[in-house]
Amino acid sequence: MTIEHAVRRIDMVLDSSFEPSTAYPLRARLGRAVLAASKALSADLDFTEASELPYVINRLQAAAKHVMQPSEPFDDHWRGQWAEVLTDLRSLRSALEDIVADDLAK
Amino acid sequence: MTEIEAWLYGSVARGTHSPRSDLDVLCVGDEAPSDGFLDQVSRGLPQRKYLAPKSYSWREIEGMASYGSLFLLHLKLEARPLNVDAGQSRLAPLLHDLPPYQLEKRDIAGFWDALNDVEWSLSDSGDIGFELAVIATIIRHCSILGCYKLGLAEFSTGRSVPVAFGAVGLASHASGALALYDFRLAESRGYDAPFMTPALAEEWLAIARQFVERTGELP
Repeated sequence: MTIEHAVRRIDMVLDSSFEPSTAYPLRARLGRAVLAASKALSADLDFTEASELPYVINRLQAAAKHVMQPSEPFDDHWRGQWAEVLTDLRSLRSALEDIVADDLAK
Repeated sequence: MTEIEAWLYGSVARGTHSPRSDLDVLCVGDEAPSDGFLDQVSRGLPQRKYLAPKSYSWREIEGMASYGSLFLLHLKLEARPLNVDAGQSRLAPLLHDLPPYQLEKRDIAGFWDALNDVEWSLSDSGDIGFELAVIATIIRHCSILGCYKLGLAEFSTGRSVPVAFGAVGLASHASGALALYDFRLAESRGYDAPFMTPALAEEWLAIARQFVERTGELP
């Protein structure tokens, strides 16, 4: 799993509609994106654990597990918390792109 | 009046739990339950190490009640209050007056979209274990919906999957689907799942597609 794979999965979440009628796949999309980012960073030899990314990933992992209840596809329960998820996802995406840019510059 | 109502549901409430079962506790209130509250209401219950609390506000629960949420139907049939007398509960009358479920078509479309995601991810170096777990979850949700369409309110995985698979002519895959869901539980808890392969994921993706399509066709 590369950083490019992870970015594609993050984009899939960011590009998703948040309407109840189309939101069932969102929880899996979020879990898929976070897992991909985690695996990609584990494989990146230059990645430093001292960055903020592990904390962002931990928050997103918790969100994927708890924010959206698997018993209901999508409801107001997590609509409010979704804004925080999006902020963390955009931050993660930006950091991953920086890593790719740094690798290309070397 | 109790500020947060806690209700037990799922396999522990039914008395059918296994060593891998979650301890499902619903908390309804206008604030999130504290760890201390959860510790108090779950004291003495089995499977506490797998405590899986779900919390909703009253506004959210009332919204779900308006469309006959299957989750609320689930609660209506098997939940029992942990910290409030049923006669004084605010949730109990909502469950009593629950209307028929209204979002069947939306759910089928959502299952279909989620399976399309799995297909895409598998073709893009996706994690096999994760994708199998997603398929297992879709099968579980679709089984519950299928049972509902058959006029059966069946929410346990062990019963809903065989009934729904049998109803759509896929009975031969029911035991495999149950094993796949067992794998999902193991995967979510970090256990090894040595049997997973890309071929297995493709096979279950095809079965799940058939299952969702045929469930959608049930009257």
